Amino acid sequence: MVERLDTMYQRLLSRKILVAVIIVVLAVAAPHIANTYTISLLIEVLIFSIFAMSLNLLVGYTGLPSFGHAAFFGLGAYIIAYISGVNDLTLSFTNNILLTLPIVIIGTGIIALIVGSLALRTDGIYFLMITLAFAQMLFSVAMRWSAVTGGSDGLIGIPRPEIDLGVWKYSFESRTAFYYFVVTTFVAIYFGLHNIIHSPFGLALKGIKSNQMRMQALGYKTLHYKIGVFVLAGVIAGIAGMLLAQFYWHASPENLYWTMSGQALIMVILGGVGTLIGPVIGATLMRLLPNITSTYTNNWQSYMGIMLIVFVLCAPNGIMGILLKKLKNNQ
Amino acid sequence: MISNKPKTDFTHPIIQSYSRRKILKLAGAGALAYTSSLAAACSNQSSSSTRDVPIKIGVLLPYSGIYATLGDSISAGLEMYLDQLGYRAGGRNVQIVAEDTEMKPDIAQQKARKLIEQDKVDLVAGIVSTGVLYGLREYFHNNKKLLICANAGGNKISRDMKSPYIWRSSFSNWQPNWPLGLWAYNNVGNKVFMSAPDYGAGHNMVDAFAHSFQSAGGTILGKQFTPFPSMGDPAPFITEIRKSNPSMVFCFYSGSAAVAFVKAYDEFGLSKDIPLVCSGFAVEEDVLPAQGSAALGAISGLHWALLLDNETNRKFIDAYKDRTNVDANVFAVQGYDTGRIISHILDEVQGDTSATSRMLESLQDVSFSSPRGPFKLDPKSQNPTQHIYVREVKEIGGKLHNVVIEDLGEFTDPGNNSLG
Amino acid sequence: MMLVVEDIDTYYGKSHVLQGVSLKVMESEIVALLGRNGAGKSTLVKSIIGRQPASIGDIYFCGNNITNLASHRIARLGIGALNQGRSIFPTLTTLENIMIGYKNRHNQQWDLDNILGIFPALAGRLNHLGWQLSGGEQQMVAIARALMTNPKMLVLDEPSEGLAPLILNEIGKTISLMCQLGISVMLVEQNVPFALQLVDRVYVMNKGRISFDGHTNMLKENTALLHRYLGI
Repeated sequence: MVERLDTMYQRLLSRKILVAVIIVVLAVAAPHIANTYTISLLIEVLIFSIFAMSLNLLVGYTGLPSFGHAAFFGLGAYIIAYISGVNDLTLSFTNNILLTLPIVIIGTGIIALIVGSLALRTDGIYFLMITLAFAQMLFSVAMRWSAVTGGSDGLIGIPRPEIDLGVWKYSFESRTAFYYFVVTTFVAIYFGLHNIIHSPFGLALKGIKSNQMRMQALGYKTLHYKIGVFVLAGVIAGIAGMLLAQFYWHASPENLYWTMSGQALIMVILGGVGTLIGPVIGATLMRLLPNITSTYTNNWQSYMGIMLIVFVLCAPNGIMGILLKKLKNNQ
Repeated sequence: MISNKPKTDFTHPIIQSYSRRKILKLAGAGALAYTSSLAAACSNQSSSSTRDVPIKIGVLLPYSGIYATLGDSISAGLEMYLDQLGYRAGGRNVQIVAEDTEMKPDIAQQKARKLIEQDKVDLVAGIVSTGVLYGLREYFHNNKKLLICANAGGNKISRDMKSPYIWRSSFSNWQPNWPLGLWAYNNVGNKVFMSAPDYGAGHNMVDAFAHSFQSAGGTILGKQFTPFPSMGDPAPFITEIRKSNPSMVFCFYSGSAAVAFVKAYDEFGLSKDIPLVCSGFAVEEDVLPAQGSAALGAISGLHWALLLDNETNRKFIDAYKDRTNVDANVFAVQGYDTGRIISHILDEVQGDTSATSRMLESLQDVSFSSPRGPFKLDPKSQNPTQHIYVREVKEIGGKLHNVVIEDLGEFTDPGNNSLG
Repeated sequence: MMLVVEDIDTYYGKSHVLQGVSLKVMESEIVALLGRNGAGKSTLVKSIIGRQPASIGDIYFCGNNITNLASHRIARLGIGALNQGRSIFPTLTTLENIMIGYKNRHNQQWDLDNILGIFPALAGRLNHLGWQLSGGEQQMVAIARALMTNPKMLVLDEPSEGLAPLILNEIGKTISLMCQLGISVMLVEQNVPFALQLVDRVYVMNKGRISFDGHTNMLKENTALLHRYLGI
């Protein structure tokens, strides 16, 4: 019995390794085999995947229904625009990723800590409303405070990142180089999240989602865990926002708007709440489908809406839910 | 109705059979002579294949959301011009590939990449909002692709954010308002209160008007910037205006906000005592029917008017009405002129769209008579040099229209911030 | 003295649920709290574990006043509580359900091995999700998880509810084992016979007050009381 389990596990493991190798080879080879447009789409998909994965930490793993996650996505975009952007409004102080990344992480982290400490004292619909209100507040600041944020035009002239070690310098300016930069970031975050989710901290988050009071009865100060995961999710969303701004050379108030939060939420729901790969699938669909269908129809959003309703009603665990079920039935 | 406009492939139905005929023609001797000149221009491309493949023009416009009407009007104007040419320019067939930007910079980015990298369009036209334009600026600049902006008026694109690859067929926000400020000081009053939505275009327009108005000796009693895109209840803003007791009011609004503001201005009784001077978009043909008599007497400055009296315009407005069943508006004119500029470029390079530098060069001497009057592209600001008209809303034959009361002459964007 | 509840009053909004309740639990003792539905047993549990703090009176645990402590602080002091119903995490596996109680405290007394020594039946179910377990298994998992937190005392709210007699027997043995391991147990029950075979001392509640307090044998002899307050 134990032996059989072992061989099964071995086979599964070797299959997993095979899949991983294929993915890595494809990811590395992509710029050499695919056209530039496909690479663009891939970059976008990866960036939105990071964004959706970060929201999934809250919605999927901890059961916190944030409807204002775009706040951190946009914040990351505006922070990088402000410190690295070359235009008349910004500081243009450095584009060295060794400095900019920590600034983005600390900046979004501090804001997430403040917002989280306040919002997480509430639950359910109230939490949802507070996160939404915070994001909309940031959006209106971005729109109104045009002397700093560029108003509705946003901030332009954001360069692609570079690494500067003094003696050695490398710029991710070309699309291929930037693609590898995004892939590396994605992989690092993906495996980072994988480890976090399978750590005692991750287990505590799942426990909180399942029953918060029970966790308290076990001695967990759940508020601290929730603030922790809120900050983590905010920082990762901020990194995604930073990447998008660098990819587009532009930070726009739309990055903060509630529709952006909504988009991320749909990615998570569509792909599969509470699985690591689900949001990646959701992001891929959400970014690629309109791109394909909009050539044929202007109403892709209506089709998307119908699809979403079908999913919520018939497959509440998203595409990953369906896949996992199938896998189980086959075994 | 223009709103029923097809989404993407604007290849004219006739064109399919038309191009087949053309291919036959190509076999003829006359065509051969033509191809030899092309072969020199693009040595690594088989010249006959270049002749067969239509030139693709990418169009990026909002076909959904609050500016869908603008997108539809620009599209209709552009198509109308190309249709008049039988969808032919530079000796090749021309085809439009349109994408909806949804007014979102991120969607616009994706669609721009799709048009250029996947659909391999030869150049791109469109862009309604400045936010989208600024967002796309680096992409077109870095990839050395030509973009003809058919609406978005952000001053910066003619100034510090200028790119050799981005030219404008529409206007800069400065353009209609600076001349209007000077004229208003001389003809309407010397104390103004200003009202505009709180976003880029609102600030651009107010700054331009304020600059010439103040330089001439006028006093600005106050400026109010209202929430954008929806101003909400206009009552407190109207009250603020009345309290300042100005001799005139300047405003810029568009779409539903323009209807709300102009109606409230009339309902609160201000239109009787205080003349309303505005940027032309606030009382353009697209909003006048909804504003109704509230707009009567409003004075505005713009680079066109429906009833502008010149031959090109008369033909244009008739043809447009025949085609779409609605009156033309300034956006349709901009689309129409965009078509004209594109055909000029394609003719100059004889359909060889790989010759980017020659295409850019050919933009320097664009000059024709537009429905808006004499039209030139200014090589310095890469923006039109065009006449600005003072118009007044009057009732003509039971319908409200903007009647030109003065031609202020030709204006070009200064290319820097020295004049507001 | 493990737990001392001293003359507490607890309110739910305006409704005065507990009225002057006092109770004690000694080291390594099993105490039963009996009473009909609505007698106030659950409210007393909630006051002890910090869910519904008493507004008058004090509660001490190992000498600490815990009356107004947050429930996670009370848990950390060593009170392990199992709510009424199946208090497992249905979407976590058995293993996760147990390990979630393990928090790397100083002098951790329990690990997976000795837990599985007590509940060998769980060994084969470690990768099953909580909701896939039987009622008895769920109850075992809940107790196992509580043990992982190194409790000095367990508060079990109706562990017998909905369990078949055979399994009930197993749970009963486990509860006795706790006592032998030096863990006090406060057993809140409606199943009077089940409780009486396990405990030495009994509290009976009625309408928010303690109406009987004494040895099991004293209660068994007092048929009038059994009938009046417990319906037997």
